[in-house]
Amino acid sequence: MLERLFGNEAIEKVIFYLLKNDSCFGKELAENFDISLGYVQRTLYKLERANVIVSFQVGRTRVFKLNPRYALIKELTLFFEKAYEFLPDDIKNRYYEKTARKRPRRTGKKL
Amino acid sequence: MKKDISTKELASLIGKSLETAGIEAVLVGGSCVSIYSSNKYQSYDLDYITYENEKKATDVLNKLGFIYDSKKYYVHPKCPYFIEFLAPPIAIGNELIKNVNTIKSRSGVIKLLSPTDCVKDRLSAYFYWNDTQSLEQALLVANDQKIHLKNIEKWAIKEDNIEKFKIFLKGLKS
Repeated sequence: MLERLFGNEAIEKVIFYLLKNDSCFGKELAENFDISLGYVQRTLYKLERANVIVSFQVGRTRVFKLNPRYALIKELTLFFEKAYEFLPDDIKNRYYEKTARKRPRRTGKKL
Repeated sequence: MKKDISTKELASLIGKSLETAGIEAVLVGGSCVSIYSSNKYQSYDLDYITYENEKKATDVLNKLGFIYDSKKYYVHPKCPYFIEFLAPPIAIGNELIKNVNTIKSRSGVIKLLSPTDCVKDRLSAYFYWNDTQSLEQALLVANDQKIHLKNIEKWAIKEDNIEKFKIFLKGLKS
């Protein structure tokens, strides 16, 4: 929806995803949106350089989050929250608000 | 460039070269803590923010022997420091920084966050990431420099982090 504005279709995907899911990692996004990992990583790197997102090393995975210290984070969030409302429900449900289990599951417990 | 150059000497040298080239850049982050704490905390990252095109600054750094290493840093073969240009604006949270400090020395000039803003910058990392190293750095600066405590308190209230600000207060030397 905003790819013409940002010149990159992955930027809105990353930010919408982080608004709804708090954190993400490259492979997770690549699989979720069925786009190449390299493209996702370049986009994450670009957003990190712009100070919009930050990353943490968790085990062997680099996890990304929106940067609460970014000067325009409130305005950016408002803009993307508004833009998100315009997305069709099936897109929201398919990519951003999956009903996957997020609460903890004890190690070894059968599904 | 001498191998044991201090953060302050290097920042002065870079500051002078940038100024000569007409580039206004402000030093932020951990290296401000090094300078204000007389190296009680040693940072090897020199983070600058400029509103100019970074390519102009690249030319200046290249002349000083710093080369872009493709991992977003400028490095020097004979110097342990990394130089990075961060995205503007110069702000702490959503508070825009309009007044910066200037330190002049024989080797050059440094434009950097004021001691008060440096403390806020470190406290911001402590507030958001619960990073106690940042709290320690804020205290190093606050205990070595004249700061505006009321101003920091007002900002902490706006940031909705008065409880962590109280922990910072407890660490101040009376």
